[in-house]
Parts: sequence; structure tokens; C-alpha cells
Amino acid sequence: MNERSRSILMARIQTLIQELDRAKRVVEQIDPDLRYRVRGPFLDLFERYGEDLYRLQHEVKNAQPLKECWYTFQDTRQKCEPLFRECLALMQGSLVRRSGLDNGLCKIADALLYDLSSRINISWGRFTILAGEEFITDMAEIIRVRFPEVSIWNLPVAAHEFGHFVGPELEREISGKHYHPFQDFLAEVGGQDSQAVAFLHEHFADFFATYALGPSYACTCILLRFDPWTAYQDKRAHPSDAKRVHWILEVLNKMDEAEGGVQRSYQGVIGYLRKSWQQSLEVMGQPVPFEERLGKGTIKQLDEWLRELYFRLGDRVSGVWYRAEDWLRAKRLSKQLLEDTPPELKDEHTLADVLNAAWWSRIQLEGRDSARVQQIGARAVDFCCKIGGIGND
Amino acid sequence: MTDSILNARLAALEQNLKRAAEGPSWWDSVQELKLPSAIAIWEGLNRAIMDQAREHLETLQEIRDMLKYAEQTDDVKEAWRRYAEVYKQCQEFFGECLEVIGGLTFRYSGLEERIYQLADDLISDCVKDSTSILQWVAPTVPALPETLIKTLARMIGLRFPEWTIWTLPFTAHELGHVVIREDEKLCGFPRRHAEAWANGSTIERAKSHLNEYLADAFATYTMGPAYACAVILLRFNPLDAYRDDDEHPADAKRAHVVLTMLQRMNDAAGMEEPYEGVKVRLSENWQEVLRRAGQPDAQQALDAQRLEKLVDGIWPEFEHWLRPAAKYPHDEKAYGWLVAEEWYRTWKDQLEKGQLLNIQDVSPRNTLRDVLNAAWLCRLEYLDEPEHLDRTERIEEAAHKLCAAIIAERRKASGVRGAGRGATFKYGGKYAKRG
Repeated sequence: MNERSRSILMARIQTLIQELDRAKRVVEQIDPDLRYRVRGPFLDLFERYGEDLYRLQHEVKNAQPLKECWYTFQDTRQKCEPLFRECLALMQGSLVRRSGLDNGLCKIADALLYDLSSRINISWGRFTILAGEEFITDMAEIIRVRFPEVSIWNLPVAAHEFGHFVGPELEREISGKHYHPFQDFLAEVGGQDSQAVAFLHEHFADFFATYALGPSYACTCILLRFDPWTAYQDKRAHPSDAKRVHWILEVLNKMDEAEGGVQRSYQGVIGYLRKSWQQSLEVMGQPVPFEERLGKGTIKQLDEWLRELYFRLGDRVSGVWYRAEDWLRAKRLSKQLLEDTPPELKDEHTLADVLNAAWWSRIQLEGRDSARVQQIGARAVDFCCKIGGIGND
Repeated sequence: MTDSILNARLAALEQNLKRAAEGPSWWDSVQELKLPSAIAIWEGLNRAIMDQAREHLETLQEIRDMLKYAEQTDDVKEAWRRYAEVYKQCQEFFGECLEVIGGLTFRYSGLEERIYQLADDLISDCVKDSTSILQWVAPTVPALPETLIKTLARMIGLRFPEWTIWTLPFTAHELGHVVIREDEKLCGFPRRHAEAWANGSTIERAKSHLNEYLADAFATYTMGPAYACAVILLRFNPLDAYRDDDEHPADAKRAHVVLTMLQRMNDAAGMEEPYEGVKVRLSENWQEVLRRAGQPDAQQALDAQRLEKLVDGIWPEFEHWLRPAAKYPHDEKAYGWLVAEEWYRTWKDQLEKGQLLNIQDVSPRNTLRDVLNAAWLCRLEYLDEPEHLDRTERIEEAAHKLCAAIIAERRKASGVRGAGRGATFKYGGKYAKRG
């Protein structure tokens, strides 16, 4: 093999090694209080890919078949892309957080998720950053919250993203053996159908967020996010919004039923949300009740999935269950938000209570006064900061 | 007829847009990060952001009016349709705002600032020499490959983490996209030729491909061989060299356009053919790599004649619509290829004698393009040698030093002090100055 044929590849390997080195330096520059939470997985990858490249450099020097070497290089290059992407997002996200562009909402989102993480006993030591859309990546498990919709009203969506992290982490030990009930559920119910598996992931995340944050998550989705214009369209990895509305309201129903007793605490809010969603569909010229339009087969399948999920995972996630008594506490708290009095917070109040209280207050206004809605939102943020012990910057 | 959900969403979107439209209060918080106070940056960005936010607010008002008088289901349906449309546009708008803010905060975080400053200076030179269309260009920021072009802020991304002298010529390709988009004469080129170019594929795809070819041609035309070296040696992928995608033509085709452009520059220079040596060397290297990667010979596999005709079509457009100084000069004494060649020879001599790489005579008329060309020429010299990596590092460091010396000379000549950090230059306006 002559020198000329390998020189370009050698130059590229060297360039990629340098790029890894620079990206590593970027991670080292992140605010220390955020850096320590994500450093581990990044350093592992820098080391692994760096070793791959040094090995490849050695192989090219030792006249290994050049075509193979190019393939190895290309493979490593492709693996580095998501790493670089994540490094850039991490650096920019941490700087933007420091700038205060998020109005301190990322810290509240972090506190909310840490609370859920500790109650479900699944460690998540990461944080949230602003992004163009909400998502979580497997690499660093940093949760993105959507800019500029970082407000108390959209905060519940962070719990949905956290649900994507929680599902695969769920573990159960029976007679010394470890099982992954969510993964087993996916394998048994979704099988080889990749779209079904993707939908089940979304349904689980909706289940988790509703279960943990109660009606506030349902309100965010139905009143602010889901689109009646495309209500019945499945997307590649997301079930249709109409299916999700049915699913989320059913989760609330199940939570209600599980409380037992005569009183059904969530029925009021379920009814309100169902009616609002249906009204929106009606003004779009779709008067047929959405569950009827979805069809018996679809409803049956969704209900079966939910039953199965609840049966397999209900007890494992019971630590985050937003119960009727919590909802009652939130309703009482909503009076404080509406009355504009200084907050009288008690130890028992949680961030989930504030989210629910804010939404309940907003529902009381029936969307008549947007200035008041903003005011409630701002007061709710203050409440959250007090509960979470967060400096409201 | 009322729709409480739609009203709630309109209110939420309106609130966010108002923040952006009222002279972005965002910048206040961003400025706490002590970004440079070069007014042109904020002026240009503010204007772009505020204009777009106001446009969206007007649409929201139209939707509200529509709802106010809505009596028929169809009216509300139309309002929802328009809301869905504007919401999607706003997502993109806000996403881009966030990228701009994130990019700027990163850019001025102090990390690798040296390379961004060089990129800014390089672009400023290119803009000034190429066109009178652009009144301002935002500072370069780290970016991902798919978001390199910022329509909102005319912002040019430096692919993260490619922060070296060697990849700086790529900024000319990104600038090419901006110039082509903003220059009404040049932007007509892809439109005019798309149908003929489509050849069985869609017009949109043809337009995207033509835009890429134009940006490659622009980068070669303005940057000279440095762009050809960077893109062929560091970027194009031999394993996937013949695959087009919707946005980009195949790398082998792009390489052919770049090399053909270099040939046209050679032809235009007359007998001396200044770029022949580099062109032949790059072409051989690329062919060899393709062959070793198991790919067919580019000359035979490509519709080479068609690509050459395309370059023949682009050439007069550039000659006609760009400024005369846009083309990388081959025969100027104080700057251009002759200077690059001289520096290359000096460095080569110093490398071979084991001396420190050092250029003594630096003039404010020298350009950063000359440094990049000299550096690439020198690197190319040692590309096939075992000590290539060590020499590359030494050349890189020398190139950095030389760039810094040129910028210092320019400042001295223009009497400007400390304009370097983050300054962006607005040509033809009251903020015009060189760094």
C-alpha cells in the first residue's frame, strides 16, 4: 500500500481524535454543579471512541486493508456524531440556563423530577435544559423542555419525558431474580411491530405522567398541546392525539377507581376535559364523540393495554401515585392562587400539588381572563420555588 | 361560536410572541453573560427577531378576528387550521431563536474563542470583497451540521467541534448559501435551472442540489485551493461517494464541481495555471481513495460533462454579479495566491531546516485567505509522509500566529484598538470598521 492512499484516512483519523479531545474540553467547562451530574457517561464515550481511533491509526500504519479501515473509521465517525450533538446541547443548555432565559423553570423541573425519582426509587441524577422540543436522549439522559413554552402550564410534560427514562429502568426482584416488567410488557404486547412498540412507549410515558401528576398532566395535554385538527392521525412514533386523550382520561379513571369508596374525586375534571376536547372536535366539524370515532376495536385494545400495564406495573410505580387526597390538597391550594394572598405553604405540599392547583384555578376562570391566567402562573412559580427551596431567578 | 381550547392556545402563543416582539427582553438576560457590546450584532438580531414575531402576531390577530365573527363551523375550522400553521412556524422560529441564543452564549463563553474570531474576520473579508448585498453578518457560532444556516440571523455556523485552521474554509461554503439566498440575481440561478437539472427527480431536490453546487463553487471561487483541500481531504466520504440525498448531491459530484471550478480559475489566469499543481494532486488523491474504498473511477462513473457545463454556467454569474475582488486573486503582489505560495515556501524551508516557523514581513493588506492557502499547500506537501501529523500541528500553530499578526497589523493601520473581541462589521453603515 502506498503512502498516498492512506494519507487522507490518517488525516481524518487525527482530525477526529482532536475533535473528541475538544468536545471533552467543552464538557469540562460546564458549570460544575451541572457537570458532575453528567460527566460519567460522556467521559466513558470519549475514552472508548478515542481508543477505537488510536487502534485504527495503528492498523492503517500497519497496512491493514484500507477499505476495511475506511469502514471502521466511518462507523466511529457516525458514533461520534450523537456524542458531539449532545455535548453541544449540554454546553449551550447549561449556559442558557445560567443566563436565566428559562425564568428559573428548569430548576423547578429538576426539583419535580428529583422528587419523582426518589419516590419511585429510580436514580436520575441529571437535569433539564431548554430545547426546540421536549425529548430525552439515551446517551446522557438529559431532559429537554420546550422553549419558549417553559411555564408552569407546560411543566407537566417534563414528567412524560421522565416516563421515557423510567420505563426501561423499572426492575422487580422475585426469588433473587431480576425482571424488567416494562421491557417484558413491550416484548409480549408489542412483539416485532416497531410502531406498536413506539406507541407503547408513548402510552407508558403518558401513564406515568398522569399517574404522578394527576389532572395537571391531562390538562396540559388536552388544553394546550393536543391538536384537534389532526386528532385522528397516528404519527410514526406517536399514537393519535384522540387515542392519547382516551388513554390519559382512562388512567385518571383507573386512579379514581383504585381509591375505592363512594367518592370519585377526578370525575369532575375528567368530565370537563372530555367536554372541552369534544367541543374542539365539534367546531372542527367532527361531531361524532371521539371514542366512538376511534372505534370499538381501538378502544378495546387501548383499554386492554392499560389494564395489562396497570396490572404489571401499578404496584412498582405506586410511590408516585397522585392520590385523591393530594388532589383535594391542590384544590385547597388553588384558592390561595386565586385569592392573591401570600402563600401559606405546609410541609405536605408538593410541586405536583402546585401544578394541579394552578390548573384547577385556571379551569375555574374558564379561559376568560388571560391576564389573570398569567398572574396565577407567576404565583404558582413562586409557590414552587418556595416548596423546592429554589432561588427564584 | 367560541372555542375555549383555541382561545387558551392563542393566548399562550401570543404571550410568547409578545416577549420576542417587544425588543427581545431575552437579550437582557443573555447580555448578563457579558457578551460583547458590538451594536450591530444586537441591532441585526433584534430586528430579525422582532420582525418575525410581529408578523406572527398579526396572523394571530387575524385568527382572533376570525373567531370573533365566527358563526359557522367552517369559520372556526379555518381558524384552527391557521392556528396549526402559525404554531408550527412559531415552533421553528422559537427553535431558531434558542439556537441563536445558545450559539452566542457558547461562542462568547471563552472556549476556543480564537478560532471564532478568525472565522469572523475571514467572513468579513469575504463579504466585503464579494458583495454589497449584505449589510451585516452575525458572529460565527458553534452549530450542528443540519442547522448550519440561520435564516433568522444570517448566522454562520462552525461545525461543532471542528475548530481548526483546516476547517475554516468551510465557512465560505456557508457564507455562499447566505449570499446566494440574499442576492436576488444569484438566487435566480437554481430556480432557472432546476427543471432541466431535475432529470427525473423532483424540482425541489434539484434546487437543493444546485444550491449546494453553487455554495461549493462560491467557496472555491472566493477561498481558492484552501477550500478544495479542506473539503476533499477532510469532508467528502469515499465510502458513500456516489449517493445523492434530498439535500445534497453525491460527494463525488461535489468534488468534481470543486475541481472544475479550480480549473476554470486556472483557465482564467492564462498561461501560468497557478492552481494546476494543487488541482492535480487533489484529484489524484481523491481518485486513489475512491479506488481503495472499492468505488468506481469518478471520471467514468459521473456525468462529468454535465457538471462541467454547470460550472461553465455558474462562472459568468459570479463574474457578473459578485465584486471583482471576490475571486481569490492569483497575481496580486500584496495578497492572494502569490503571497500564499511565498509563505508556503518559507515554512517548507523552515520545516526542513528544523527551524521555528515564522513569517517576518506581514502587511495589513495580507489576508487570512492567504494564510489558509499557505497552510494547506504546506500540509499537502507532507500529507504522504510519516511525520505528517507532527508537521500539521506545527503548520497550524504557525498559521494561527500569522493570522494574529495580520489582524494586529490591520488594527495598527486603521488606528482601531481592541475591536477584535466579538466585533462584527457592518459595511456601508455607521458601524463600518475593520478589526
